[in-house]
Amino acid sequence: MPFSDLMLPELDSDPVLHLLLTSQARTVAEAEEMYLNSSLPDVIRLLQSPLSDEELGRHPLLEMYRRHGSRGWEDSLL
Amino acid sequence: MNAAHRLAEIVIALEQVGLTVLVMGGHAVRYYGLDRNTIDYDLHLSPAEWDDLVLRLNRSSLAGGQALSEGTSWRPGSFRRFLLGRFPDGRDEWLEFWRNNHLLPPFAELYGRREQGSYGERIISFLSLPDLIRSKETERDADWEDISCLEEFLDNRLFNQTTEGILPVPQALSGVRSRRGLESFFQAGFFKDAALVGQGLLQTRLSITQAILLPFAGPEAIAPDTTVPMEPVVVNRLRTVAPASSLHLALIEVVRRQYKLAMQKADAADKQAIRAAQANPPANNP
Repeated sequence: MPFSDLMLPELDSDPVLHLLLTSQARTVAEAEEMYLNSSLPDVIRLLQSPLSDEELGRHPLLEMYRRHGSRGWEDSLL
Repeated sequence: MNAAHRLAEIVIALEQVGLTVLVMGGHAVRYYGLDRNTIDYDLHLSPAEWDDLVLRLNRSSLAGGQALSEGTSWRPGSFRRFLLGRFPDGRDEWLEFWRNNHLLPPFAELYGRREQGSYGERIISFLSLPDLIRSKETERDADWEDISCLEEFLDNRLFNQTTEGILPVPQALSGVRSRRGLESFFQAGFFKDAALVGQGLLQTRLSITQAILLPFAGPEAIAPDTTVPMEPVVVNRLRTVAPASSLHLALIEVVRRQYKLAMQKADAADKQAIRAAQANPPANNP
């Protein structure tokens, strides 16, 4: 039986975990980068959902975008 | 001799035989403030001097009386490299010339906005910081790591020039592209006047900068078409989201990532086209 068939559905539904468990990514950071690169449709679905701006700002995917994005004042090289 | 002094020595030697160059690549990155190791000398040559390059190079003090050996190039009409020697650790020391770089405008334009500064105790001409950033928009992730630092340096310059009254606010805002830059301008109150932000918006076709400016400019602000299109759903949300909110910052990163992916794809396609042309030269396709 393929390894992917043994996974629990809830684990498989987490895109980052899926990339790790299927060995497409070696680290969490790499998996998150891979997911973000393909996540635009998910972002659009979120923006079209009834979630408020505050709820969207706290959504894990959009938090991930900020975490992997341009450095803020406290992390800047300057 | 350190790397900066060696680069300066090379540029002076080239100028002595009439070659006009702009420094790009790793040494330009170092000049603008990001300390990193680099062993290549990456130069943009005036195209008018391309045909005489070998002749003049071999006449220069770099050749030491012997013709420099040329390395292979997969862009022979645009890029040439010459072996200068070897470093003590055995690595080759390459001198690389671009005639025209597929990511950059013509040399005359680049030269017109070059930056001259002290490097290796000499005054050297470099690609301007915005042009250097543009030259790094390749398919390589390492180049994008450089960009993430260089754009902070650029925004810091814009901010300082604005606070000193040298640069008009709209012009400065039209160049902002880092989160650090956004925070600096925001904390100093430069986003308070929506009309000035709107003027800045009109001056930029970079999607990342538009994503930064749109929430400050008001829902009716006019934005030019961007070089990499933004998703309409994202643009519409940027027009209404609270400026500098968590969602705004996240949407900037959504736009930044789409820009990066588009530029990486374009660079990869350019390389693929060259490989395809080299695999099937016109002579083989009567």
